[in-house]
Amino acid sequence: MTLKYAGIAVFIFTCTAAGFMKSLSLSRRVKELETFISALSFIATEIRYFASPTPVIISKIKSKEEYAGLHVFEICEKNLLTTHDFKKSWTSALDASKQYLSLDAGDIETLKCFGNTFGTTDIEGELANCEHYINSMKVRLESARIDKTKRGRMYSSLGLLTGVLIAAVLI
Amino acid sequence: MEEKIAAARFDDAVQNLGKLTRCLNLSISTKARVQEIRLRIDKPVVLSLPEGPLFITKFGTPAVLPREGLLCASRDSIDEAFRLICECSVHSHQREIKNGFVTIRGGHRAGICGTAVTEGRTITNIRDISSINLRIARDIKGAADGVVKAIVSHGSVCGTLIFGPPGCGKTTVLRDLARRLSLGSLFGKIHRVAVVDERGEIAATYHGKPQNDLGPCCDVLDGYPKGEGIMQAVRSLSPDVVICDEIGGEEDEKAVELSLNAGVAVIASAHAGSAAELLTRPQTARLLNSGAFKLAIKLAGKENPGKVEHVYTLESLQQFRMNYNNARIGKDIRSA
Repeated sequence: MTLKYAGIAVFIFTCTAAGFMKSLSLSRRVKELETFISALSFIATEIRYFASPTPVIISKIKSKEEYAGLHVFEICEKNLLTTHDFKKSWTSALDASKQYLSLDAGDIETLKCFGNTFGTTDIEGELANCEHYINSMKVRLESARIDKTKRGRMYSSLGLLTGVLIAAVLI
Repeated sequence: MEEKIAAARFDDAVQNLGKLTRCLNLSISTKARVQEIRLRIDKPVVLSLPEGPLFITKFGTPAVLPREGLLCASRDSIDEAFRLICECSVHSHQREIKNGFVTIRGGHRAGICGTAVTEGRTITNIRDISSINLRIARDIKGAADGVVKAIVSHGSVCGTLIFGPPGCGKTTVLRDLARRLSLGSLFGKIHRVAVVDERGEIAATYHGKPQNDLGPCCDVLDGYPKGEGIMQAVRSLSPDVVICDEIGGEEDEKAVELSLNAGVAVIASAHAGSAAELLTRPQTARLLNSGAFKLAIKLAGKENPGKVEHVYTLESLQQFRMNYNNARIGKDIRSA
């Protein structure tokens, strides 16, 4: 009997945790999109004021604490040392850091597109490019915020309810 | 030892050309003598040596004459080399690209050519890069021996114009001269030296740090336009000597005059195959007329980089000018 109740408790806990995790990933996506937008603004500033080369910009971002959680810049810097090709380095860094991020496939694709053209044009072109991707990311951020508000609570409640439902069936 | 260092410089430079030149199988002595590496789209890779061009076979070995089976540069390899030269950062090099060259880590200079993108009569960009000429920077200690001897025999560090044809070692001489002045090995006095390094070839500054040794008392104005750089150096760094490469623009002339008035000696280089060419080119003639240069030193050709061929003092240059003008007038009269 005790084992049965313990099992039920585990079910309720697991389902609630799953719901909570799903809801948390929505919050994390919002945070990560905000951080990426901030990183893109930083890149634009570096280009506008210093015309810094790409490896320097990536190295500077990597060393900033606020972007440390993204991992992608760290991996990209390492890749750049071997490939000397930003597009390849950026794409493989995004693929490698996907597991740590809560971004959806669309977000990753947008970021990959940014890397396809970065470093291939003059200052004006780079600034326009940064602005374009900042705007694209802002649109995605808006939808992520809506998702978070709408679905965040739903996932938490759904997790708990599922747990309770399974428990009720088992009882 | 020097040969090994020169060969290492070659290896360092070649890294910037990507996969194409990774298979090179050259001896240390050949590597040490390579002055330029030339890539042309769908054409063989050519190494420029003092004794003449050298081709590369597909196996990376040298070939003296063009023949079948040579290593050629494709569109992809040119694009890869351009990307590496720019460090995936066209925006950081846009001014240099517009001027047709990019200075890279190690001070090597990549000349680029392709299709010009123009606005009116101004080149705004170069697209479809078709050729890359990578000139390997040499940091030869003692390269300025001949020039130093000329300056010492003059009695003091004075305005000096070093001229000669391309590849005769003007930049290498300037670099060595900057180091020796800054180290205090001329007249036993440590000179405050300001190097206006518009093309980044003298100091080869990379991420703010000069790659070449310019001694302990040298300030580097990296990437500054020469005229503006000379003026800023004179105003803010109070140097004893300003050193710059390839002088000749209108702005340069004003700046040289300013430094003359401030009592700062300018040591500069200029492209000119002969003294006559130096005197007939309006820009260099005006510079010489300004009185800022007390010495004009002609370097020998590509075969003997850094070797002094002739030293002109202001007086001997004036004498040369008179003789040259007389000869020209005589020629004109004869032809009339």
